[in-house]
Amino acid sequence: MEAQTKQRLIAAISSVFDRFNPDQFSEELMLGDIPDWDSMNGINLQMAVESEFSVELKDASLAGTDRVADILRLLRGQGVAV
Amino acid sequence: MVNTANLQRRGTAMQHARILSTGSGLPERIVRNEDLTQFPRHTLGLIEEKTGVRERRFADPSQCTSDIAALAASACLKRIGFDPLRVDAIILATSSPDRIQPATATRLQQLIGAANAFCFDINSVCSGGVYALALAESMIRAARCATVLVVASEVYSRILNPADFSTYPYFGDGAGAVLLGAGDAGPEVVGAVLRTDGAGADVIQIPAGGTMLPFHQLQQPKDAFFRMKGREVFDFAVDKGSRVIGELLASTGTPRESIRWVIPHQANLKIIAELSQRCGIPLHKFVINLDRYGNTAGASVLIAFDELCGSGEPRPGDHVVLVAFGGGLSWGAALITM
Repeated sequence: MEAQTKQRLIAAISSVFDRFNPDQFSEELMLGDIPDWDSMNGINLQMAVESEFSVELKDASLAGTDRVADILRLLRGQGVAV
Repeated sequence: MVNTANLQRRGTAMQHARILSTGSGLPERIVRNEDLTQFPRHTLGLIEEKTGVRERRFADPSQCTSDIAALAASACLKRIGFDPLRVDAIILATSSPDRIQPATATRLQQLIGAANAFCFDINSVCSGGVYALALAESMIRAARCATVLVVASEVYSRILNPADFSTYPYFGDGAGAVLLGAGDAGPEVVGAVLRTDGAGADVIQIPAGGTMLPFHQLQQPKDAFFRMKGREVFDFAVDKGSRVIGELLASTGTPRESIRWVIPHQANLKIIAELSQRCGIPLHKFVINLDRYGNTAGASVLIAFDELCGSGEPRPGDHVVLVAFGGGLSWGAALITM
């Protein structure tokens, strides 16, 4: 993962989850392990990622069992160089 | 004002708190889930699935919390032709007040012409309606007042972040009202149990706008909006909600099987269903209107109670439990015998 991608994803996650600690961040991070995660905030995270990377993840729906790596996969699917 | 002459005449005898009338006020504007176009289209179906809400009412830009409160209060008084000048006190429960000060109840008093009533607000967030009802009941029972108008009014559409999917789709605007009076006949508020746990004060909050974080020190705009920790709220609501119903029934000596109706805070359908399971009262006894109004915070139980009364279904002697839970954390339940 590019350093810039990492910073942008951390920014997106932090914008939704106040108690997110960037030291937690890794491709293996399970979204459900982010403090205050719930499925409604999962939609907020999806919108934050879409806004940060100027893409539409269309029918994607982030779940607590998804990992950061799954977000990267979705971004690649939209032609984003990650 | 307190009519001391009346108080002296009434002495200090304990009086029964009777429900003389109810009312509700709901803005005309209906906002359906499909109208929430700020969210991705594929997520709109999730709103009803996750919350049970299909539509909600939003106040007109010209209306604030006291205006919606006045709709409910006027409907309540007009239903029985009650002169507003005979109201001794107004308690307004709101967590979305017109402004930080003065009390929103003061403008409500002026709007409905209840010039002889002393007025104040309480803020127990979503428990506000039950807290205000319990407070009014104690004021009547202690013979401090002959009539108390309880109103719970919320305009959450002004305090929600329109871009926040975790809160915005849940809520709606509205108000409910109950007129309580001393008397020997009619529906009675039999008892109530109120509880608070300040250790959870951060679970549901609007961080900015008070003395902790004044607006002029605001760093991030989202701090000006309502927020809640969804999972913690769910766990708290179903645990404390079911426990407080048990406490209420025990303290009033009411058999669980005798409960005809439960009016829960209209938080979301999953909370209500879980509450039904945990307190062992079948879901069909629960009054639910959140599909049409969303979560109207402190007003929800009084709106639903007004709808129940207006349905003509309750029979004299029916036991009705009101139960609410919300920011604070605060929770409570009240028993009404129709």
